[in-house]
Amino acid sequence: MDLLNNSRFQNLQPKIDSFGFSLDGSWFIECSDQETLENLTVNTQSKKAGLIIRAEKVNGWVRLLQKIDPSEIFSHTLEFYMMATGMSGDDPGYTLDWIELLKSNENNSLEHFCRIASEVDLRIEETTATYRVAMPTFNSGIGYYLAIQMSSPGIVLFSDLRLSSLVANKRLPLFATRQHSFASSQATYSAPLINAKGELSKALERVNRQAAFAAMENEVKWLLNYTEVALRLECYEVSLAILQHVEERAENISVDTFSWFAVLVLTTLRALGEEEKARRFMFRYCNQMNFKNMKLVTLNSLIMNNHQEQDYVLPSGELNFALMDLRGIQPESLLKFLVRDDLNIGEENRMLISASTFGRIDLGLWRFHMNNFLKLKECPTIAEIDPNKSKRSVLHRLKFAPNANSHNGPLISIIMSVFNAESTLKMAVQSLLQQSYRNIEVLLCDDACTDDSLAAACSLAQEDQRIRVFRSIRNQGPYNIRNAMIGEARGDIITFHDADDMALPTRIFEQYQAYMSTGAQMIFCKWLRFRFDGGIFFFADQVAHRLSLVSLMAGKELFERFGPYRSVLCGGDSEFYEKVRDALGEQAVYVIDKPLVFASWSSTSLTRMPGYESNETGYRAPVRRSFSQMNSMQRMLGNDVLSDDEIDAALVNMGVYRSPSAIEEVHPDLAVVSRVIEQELKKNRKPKQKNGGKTKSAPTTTES
Amino acid sequence: MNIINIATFSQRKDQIKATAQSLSHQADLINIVFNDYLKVPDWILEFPNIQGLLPERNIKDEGKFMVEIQADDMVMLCDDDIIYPPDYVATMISQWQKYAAAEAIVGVHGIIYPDFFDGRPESRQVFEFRFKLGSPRTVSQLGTGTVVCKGYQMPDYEWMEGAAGYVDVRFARHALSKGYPLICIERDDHWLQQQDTQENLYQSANGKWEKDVIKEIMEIAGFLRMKPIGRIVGSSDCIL
Repeated sequence: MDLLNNSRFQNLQPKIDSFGFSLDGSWFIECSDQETLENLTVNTQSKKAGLIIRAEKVNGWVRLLQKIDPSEIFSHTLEFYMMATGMSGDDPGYTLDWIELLKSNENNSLEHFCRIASEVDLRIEETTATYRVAMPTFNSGIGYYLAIQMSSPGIVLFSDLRLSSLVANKRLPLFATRQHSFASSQATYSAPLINAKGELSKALERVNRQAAFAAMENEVKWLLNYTEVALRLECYEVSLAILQHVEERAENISVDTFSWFAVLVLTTLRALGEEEKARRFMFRYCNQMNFKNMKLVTLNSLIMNNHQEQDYVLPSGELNFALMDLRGIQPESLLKFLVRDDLNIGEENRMLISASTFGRIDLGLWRFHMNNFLKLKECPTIAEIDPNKSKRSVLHRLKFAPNANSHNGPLISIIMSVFNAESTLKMAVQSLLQQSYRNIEVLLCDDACTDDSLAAACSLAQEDQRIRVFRSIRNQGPYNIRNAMIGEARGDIITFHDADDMALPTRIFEQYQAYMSTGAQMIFCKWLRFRFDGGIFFFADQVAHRLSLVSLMAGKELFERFGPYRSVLCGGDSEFYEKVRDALGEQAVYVIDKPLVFASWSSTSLTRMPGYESNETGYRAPVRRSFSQMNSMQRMLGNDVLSDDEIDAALVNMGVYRSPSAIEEVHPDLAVVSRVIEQELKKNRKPKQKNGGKTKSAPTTTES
Repeated sequence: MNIINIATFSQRKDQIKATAQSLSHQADLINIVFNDYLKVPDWILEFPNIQGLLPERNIKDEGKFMVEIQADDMVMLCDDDIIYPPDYVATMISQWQKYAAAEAIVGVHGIIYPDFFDGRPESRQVFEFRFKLGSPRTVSQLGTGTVVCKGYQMPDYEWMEGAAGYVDVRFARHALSKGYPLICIERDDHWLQQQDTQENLYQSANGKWEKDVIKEIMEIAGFLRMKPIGRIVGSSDCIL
């Protein structure tokens, strides 16, 4: 309760009413006698000056009163905050008699209810004080007043008075002339999440705010809500710790709540890679779960990937294609499964499962089902699949129908970090060069590759002048490369693309259109991720068609404002995304609901590389988990709690920090020539040694 | 020896006597640190087991930690505005013994700071000492007006120095660093009663949530740092 703001203060003439007067209906001045009242001046001059009470002669007392609505602030613990100054004649400082809550009695007069403070010394300098009060029980039928009493001549200026409920998170504004609060004081702390606009921050703020209630109400429900937020923040260790506390009360949890609990447990354990523990958990508690169609084998399939037909059904009744390998299913049985009426899997998933499964029999069927999906999403369709049965992946063999229309507009810079992507680079770059949006530049940066990626980049650049080639002196990871390339970009609009992904021909144009028309600052599309043979990856949340953070398209100024990306191997995308969301809100984000990127999910992808993986079963490698947790902690609680230096030091210890290093632009002709010379020299010096893929350098691609 | 430590100041002169009376038959020695008193009040002469101490300067609630304690002493840290029930010390010692194997420290007023504690008072889970708690809980922090531990579990005064106003946080950090779980015990409503005080002893420090305090709180915050009770006593057959 912000006491002062409750009043619309003006220079008020006292309206004599007994020995007092009303200021504006919520505040009252009451005096002990007529003479005291007549020698009293109340001045509210301006909001900045605050409420000034000048008592020139006091025979008894003067009280400043405000009526409180107990229903607004019902709580057993209140906090009163005051900022004020005072003078007593020529003496600096003033002592208030007391601050109290009063209640009206049967005779309609006021009597003591609860003392907040007494003999409160105010200095001539601004004084702040906070008092916590354990409250007696309020009675809803009675009037309550906050009262501040003075009984000696002097001047008091109140600039901020607040009454807050510690339990109900209600702060009733009693009087505030300026934005003084705990949050705005230099010396005090306020977590960024309290004012953050991102949906996830808001969710955490909400669940934090409910903490005080938790002890009195449904504590288990609160703990599970907290767990859900922790999972969304990818803080799996936190999630597990909370769930351990809940498990102690497992016997007393209702069946429905237990099912909720179990889902959170399984999600957490999957992320942590605790499969054995998850299986034991389900065997122990299966009787307490309220899952439909629950069978041990079905539950087991959550963890064990048993390829039984019933594994398609999660205990919840939903389809579980997240945790099983569709490739292990016979197409005939899948067909029977897909036509079942009781499966509410949605048309999109039905198409993708069909493509994934029947594609093994015939790529024509794969194209048929994929095109059904692409048509549904109003995307360009696949015109042809190269019948050449080479060892190349399906993505390499796709051809989309030629663009009927081409589009132009401002230059858009597409940044691609390249590391050992010799085999996929051409496919990735050509998919960009064939975009319907023509005015692009493609910035390829070789991240100290040990294969022939640089030469491949250079020969592509020789064929199309929209390509610029750079090389890094040392391997430094995709986010440092991005930071450097943003500086090199000539376009005012920037986007990214991975060196092993294919962009559908309209990707850039559709994102540009959205950028220009939606007002959002970050435009994303979705992607599908494919196996070598066209199989589609579904994830633990049963979704295959997913947001692609790599596809971010934004104005250069956004990167200048919120960048640079952290010098980390993994997770930099998510950190940037959440940072912008918190600052600008959800309206800053627009996601095109189309699979405008086809991503190959190979072992060279960072998200698949052992030690860094974040895979479809929900497992997250420890370094990812640690970074997510630190990242969330800093974003939510601020640099005061966890500084960038502390995070970077931890990343160094985990081996996922990469120092930025120099980058130089490469002339395509020179690069090709120097590469040839270098190879010739190598041949002459010693037998060629294979690197064997054992490099510890940073992989080429960024995150999911 | 059972020892009670209390810190008070002159504005609590009425309350401290009542508090002392409520505890006087429950301990071998009651140390009361009289902050900002010119002399130790005469009334303590009525209680042969009360020792009054005058610190050289106002050390506020740090006073609870200034008296040297033997490792085997049983120490009760109490507040000067609480009326303790006649069975307080016996109950608390019995509760401490219940968790002795885990070297837990027990108390009546407990706070859990969630892992993403945002600095707001309402973002804490508080098991207030005046109210019933049906089952014991491990907590991030115990209010040092309701704490019982062994002498060896007490922090040095040097550790507590500079924490006036937030000794509970500093004490919790000590416990965490030593591996002593903090357990808030079960009890009924109003087992302990708060006296009507005119002023909060440590008002300025309690309400401000200064950044430095938050930093200390963050060191103890989180379920990650608290084992559930079952794991502490080793009786849990929980799977997680």
